[in-house]
This record gives sequence, C-alpha cells and structure tokens, in this order.
Amino acid sequence: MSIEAIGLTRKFKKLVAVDHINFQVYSGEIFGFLGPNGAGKTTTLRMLCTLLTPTEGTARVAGYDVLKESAEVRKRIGIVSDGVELYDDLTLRENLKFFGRLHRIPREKRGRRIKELLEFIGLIDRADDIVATYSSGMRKRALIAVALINDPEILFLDEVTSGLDPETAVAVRDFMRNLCREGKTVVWTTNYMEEPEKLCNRVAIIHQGKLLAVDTPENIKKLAEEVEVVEVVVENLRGETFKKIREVEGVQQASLSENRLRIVSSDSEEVLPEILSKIVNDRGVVKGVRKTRTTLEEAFIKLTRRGMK
Amino acid sequence: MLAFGMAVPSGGQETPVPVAICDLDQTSYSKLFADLIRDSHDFDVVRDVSSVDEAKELIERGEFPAAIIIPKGFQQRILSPEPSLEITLVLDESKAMIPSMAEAGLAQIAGKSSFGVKVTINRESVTPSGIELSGRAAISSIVMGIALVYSCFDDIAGAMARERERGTLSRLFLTPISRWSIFLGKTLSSILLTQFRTTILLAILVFYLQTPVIGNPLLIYLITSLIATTTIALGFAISTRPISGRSVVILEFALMVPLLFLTGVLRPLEMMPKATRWIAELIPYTYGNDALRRVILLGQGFEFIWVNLAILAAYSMLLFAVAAVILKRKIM
Repeated sequence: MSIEAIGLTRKFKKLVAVDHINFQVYSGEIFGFLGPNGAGKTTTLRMLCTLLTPTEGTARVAGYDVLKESAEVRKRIGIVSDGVELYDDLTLRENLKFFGRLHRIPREKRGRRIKELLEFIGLIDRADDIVATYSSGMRKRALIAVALINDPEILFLDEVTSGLDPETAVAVRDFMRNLCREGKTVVWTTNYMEEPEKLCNRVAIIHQGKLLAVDTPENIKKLAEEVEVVEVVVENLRGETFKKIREVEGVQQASLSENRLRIVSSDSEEVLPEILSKIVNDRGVVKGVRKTRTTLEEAFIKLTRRGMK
Repeated sequence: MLAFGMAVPSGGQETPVPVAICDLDQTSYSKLFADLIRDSHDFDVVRDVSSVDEAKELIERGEFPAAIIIPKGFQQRILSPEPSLEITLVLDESKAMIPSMAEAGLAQIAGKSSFGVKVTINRESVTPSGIELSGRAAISSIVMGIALVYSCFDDIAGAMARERERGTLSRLFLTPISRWSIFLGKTLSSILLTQFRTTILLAILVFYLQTPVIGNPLLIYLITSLIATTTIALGFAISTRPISGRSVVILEFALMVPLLFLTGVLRPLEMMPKATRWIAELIPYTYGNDALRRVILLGQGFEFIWVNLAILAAYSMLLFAVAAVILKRKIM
C-alpha cells in the first residue's frame, strides 16, 4: 500500500477544510482525487506531502508517518502543484542540479538522472535557458522533471493538466501511464471529470472536506445509477431554447456538445416531452433521442448533490 | 511619527546635557561658577569629579558625555590686571549634538557670569590622539549599523516572503533536508553577506565620509555579525507568519523609524526624555550602534563593549527561541 489516510483532518480556524477522511491508495495505481474547487483536494495533498500539518489524524505515505517521519516521506515523493515552483532566474538544468543535491543524490547518478529527465520531458534543447523564458506548457514539463529528480515512489499531481494545450495534456496523460507501468503510484487531483474516467484505476470523490466515495470509475457511476441520461440529437437549437431547457423542472444538468444535447434528470420520461416541445416550438429539429450511460462527471454531480443534502 | 515625537521633546525645550564638573581651583569664584552651571537649564550635573583623567575615563565608559573642567588659577586669572576666564570642556565627540550643545551652553553661562572678562573655552576630546570628529562622522558609524540591520532584515524576512510568494519555499520544504537546515543556510549566508557589506561600508566611511576608523577592525566585524544575528532572528520570528513581500516592505519602514529616532543616531540617548530612554534601552540595536560608535570613533576595545555584545547575543538567542517555538507549531 502506498498511502493510507487515517481520520485526516485539517481545520483553518473555524473552517473544516478536510474532515476526518480515510482512504488507501495501492502501489502502482493512478488514483484520482476529484472534487469541485474548495472541496479539500489540495489541502489533503499538502498534508500527504508534509507541507501542512494535520489538525487531527495522520497518514502513512510510502510506509512512513507524515508527522513523525516527514523527512523519509519527502525522500519518496514528488509533487507538481500550484504554489510549488522552480527558481525562475535559474536554468532548468541548474534547478535540477540544485534540487538533486538537496535530495542528496550522488553526483554521477544525479548527472545521469538529469539527462534522462530532460530527454523524457523533451526539453533537452532548452535545459540551459532560464525558466522564466519558458511557455506555460514547457514550465509544466519542467515542474514534472524537478518533481521526478529523486525518482519518487509516489507522484502527486495537483490539477496538472489545467491550462495546458491539448497536445501537452495528452503528453502528460501518457507520461502518467508510463509511470504506472514503472510501478510508481500517481495521485492525481482534478476537477475535470473526463480525464480520470479514462485514466484512473480508482477515484475518490471529495466534497466540502468529506470523502463521498472511493472506488473504480465504473463503480462510482453505478452508485449514481438512479440518474437517467438522455441524449437528444438536435439541429438549429438556439441558445435561448437551451437556457429554457436547463430551467425545466426535474433537469439536473444539461450540456450541449456539437449537436448533441445531454440531459441528466431523475425521471427522463417526465421531463422529455417538455424539452422536446420547447425545441420544436423554437424551430429546432429533433433528429433522434436515446437513453445513454452515466458519465463520471454526472455521477460526481449526483454524489456531490447527495452529499450536500 | 510616534517614535519621532518620543525622541524629540515638544515646545522647543531641549533636554539638558548631562555633565560632570571638575573644580580644580576650589576658590570662591570657581565655586560660584560651578553653581551657575548647576542652576543652568542647559546642563544636568550628574556628578563631581576630582581630576581630568577621572572625567575622561568616565566619559569613555559612557557615564556622561561631557565634563566641564574649571582649571587651577581660575580665580587668579579673573582677578589679575588683565582678567580672563578659561574653561575646559572634555567631550565625547562621537555623540551627535552633544559637543555643539555643550559648548553653546557653556558660552552662555560664561557670558552671563558678568565677570566682564575675556572668555576662552578649550575643547578636549576623548578620542585617541585628539582626532577631531565632524558631526557627520558622529552619525556615520551608527548609520552603518542601520544599513546592516535593514539589509539583514531583507535577507531573511524579505527573502522568505518572496520565496513563499513565488512557491520556491514549498519546493525547498519538500526536500528531505530539515527546515532547520534551510534556516541555518539562510542565516550563514546572511552573516557572510554582512561581512562583505561591512567591508564596503567601512570603505565608504573612510574614503567618502572621511570618518577615521580608529578601533580594531576584527571587533567591528564581530559587532556587525551580532547585529546581523539579532536581525536574522527577528526576521525568522516574523517569517513564521505567512506575510507578503509588500507587508515586509512596510515592516522594514516600521523598523527603520525607531532605529533612526530611538537608538541614538539622530539624538543621543542622554538627550532623550527619561521615558523614551527606557524604551530605547529595550531596543537591541541601541547597544549595537553604541558598540560600533565606541570602536570605530573612540577606538575602544572589547573591555568597553562586552556588555553591549552580551545584550545583543541574549536578544539573538531570545528571538531565535521565539522563532523556533512558532516554527515547531506551524511553518506555512
């Protein structure tokens, strides 16, 4: 087991950011930590990385207690997160050398590791440029390289794909898969739901500091099975009509992608006639209607709403 | 503004200059003149001394900044066919304001004494070999202390705030080295930088401000290291709170004002109202500045400044302990 959180809690004065959460992450898995902004994902991550002391409870990371053996934990982890940055006025190679030395990697091994990492992230040609000159995608890759300098057993990636161009985001996802193949554990926090569905072995859903579910994406979706999803293929759907559809009573969520209108509701038979009549009345053309499977995002919304109640 | 108001008395009323009187003549005229000094608003006679050497020694120890010597033959000179009045003023010229105020006060008393004779005031300094110090020199040694305080504070509080804001502090904390090692590294680098800065400031003092550096340079480096250590400890104590770089700039300014007004730079402690002096004596830099002044301008040795150094060291330890306690509980 890579990580075990036991009653992990963090309070900021009266605000309970993380509320007695328990979960386990197994070695070699990609573990998704999902939740809306302010749910407590980053706070949990910072406690697991020893950057923040838990108010109550503890966690074992790579077999070591985050409170009592924090230095041992730090030897075995890497993190990419907002607020954990590089020295902008140094080159990437200098940053790697510096943090490699702080991780007490022997000189020869450090040199080899730096070369490997620069090749791995595709920045070998820019390694001697100062980091301040990097684009946001390059910077993200540089952050990943520095997080990997100590060859960590566990890599924490906090919102790592946000703000990335599609090409880099794909590269980062491939990179995560590769890490798992090497037997490393990846803990990935995100508020995008599509990526973890494809990539994660298991996901945890956190909302308002509480853990709502920890399971495989498939099982999480099953937890929310009572949600019905209907997909309507439609042409000439006006923005005004889409707005009206979202306001129909019983519609929990409506999204439009190209000409596919996706409706999440507790009872599709009840809401569908009204939705179809609104489309037709506003001169839209319905090309087809079909019931479809719940996505992880829809399950997430269902679970977080249930959590709120 | 509060510090300024505390240091400078209101209503234009000046604090009297503390002096000792040394009446070597012991005649009715000399006693009359000594009484005039005692009654004057310009002087506060703190004690009587029996010799010039005793006066000098006590001035060097910092008991008082000036002594008025009524020389032997004082009465005889007044009563002679060509009457004259001669007074000697022994001064610590390294203290800003004191020489000019003491001389002006003495001239006023001599003029008022109505002996109707020619007045001569001889000035004697306690600086070695009678080196004359300008008013600028008196301030410059202490300004050096302030420059070091400011830069050391920025080395720690400023650097920590900037590293926190840029996110590099978290990255450092994610390495297996202990947080104490990080702080020790920053402390040592700041002390090393202080030595470098001290060298530059001494060069400016000598070559640009024409201030004679009389004392042992090694002692100067020891004092500046202790000033740096105290400031570094203060910086760490403040850095345990997640303050922004902007707040640090405000803090630096807030630190500078009492440094200028309450540690003897613009106004010696002796010239401050009593309550203000108590506050000034609580500030560690008062002792650092005093030690720098004594070594640089008076050429004094360790035996004269060891108390100042001990107080600075005690403040460093206290502030480091405070920082350590807070740090142990919370760092970010």
